[in-house]
Amino acid sequence: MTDEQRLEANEAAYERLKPMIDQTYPKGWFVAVADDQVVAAAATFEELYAALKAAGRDPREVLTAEAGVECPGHADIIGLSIRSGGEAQA
Amino acid sequence: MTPSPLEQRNPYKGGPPRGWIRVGLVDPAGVVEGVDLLADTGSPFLVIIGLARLQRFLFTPAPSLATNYGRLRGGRIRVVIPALAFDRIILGHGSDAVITDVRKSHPDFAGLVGLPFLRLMRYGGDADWFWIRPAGAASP
Repeated sequence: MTDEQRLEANEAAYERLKPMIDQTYPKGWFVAVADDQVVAAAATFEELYAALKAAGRDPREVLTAEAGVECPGHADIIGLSIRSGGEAQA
Repeated sequence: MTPSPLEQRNPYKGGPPRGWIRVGLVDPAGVVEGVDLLADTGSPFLVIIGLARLQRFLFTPAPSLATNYGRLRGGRIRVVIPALAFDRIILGHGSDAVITDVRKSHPDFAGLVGLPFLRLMRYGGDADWFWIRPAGAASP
């Protein structure tokens, strides 16, 4: 499995598992998803990262997310695309 | 002008003039790279950098997100600002399309920080300078 394929598989698994994650873990906890399941969870990212290392997992091969945090389906980066002209330009 | 203690103060640069900050990105082995990031309060993302740099400084991947610049790859990265005693692992994003646009403002910029990042501290500016201070710092 390539890194890209692993990332896509973990993202798909996270989307599928998100309702269970939000119901099971306190809001703001960090979870790690790999192999189609939650493989670790902790109150802080630092604790989660240490747990992954202790379990012999490569942290770059899991996907981490915060429980109970809603991600918008789409977000706009507005300011960057604005170019000044006319009166606004110094 | 002498900066206050626990402050980073930078002159605007680029065309049009942009506020910016300098941060250190720290990889999992502890290697640090200093980068200049455009300050964009119109961005709802903490930090956006190029895809190669995100991969280099990645602690773990995080969910990606669709934007008006296409899909942004997510990842947790460590950001430090020594002058502010700031050191956190945060949710970053990677996008080469964003970086291409950022560099139209000034080629020094390696990415941008958005409003969620600036809200972790105090920020402000005047006609000549853009500055950041720790969240608990007193007003000037």
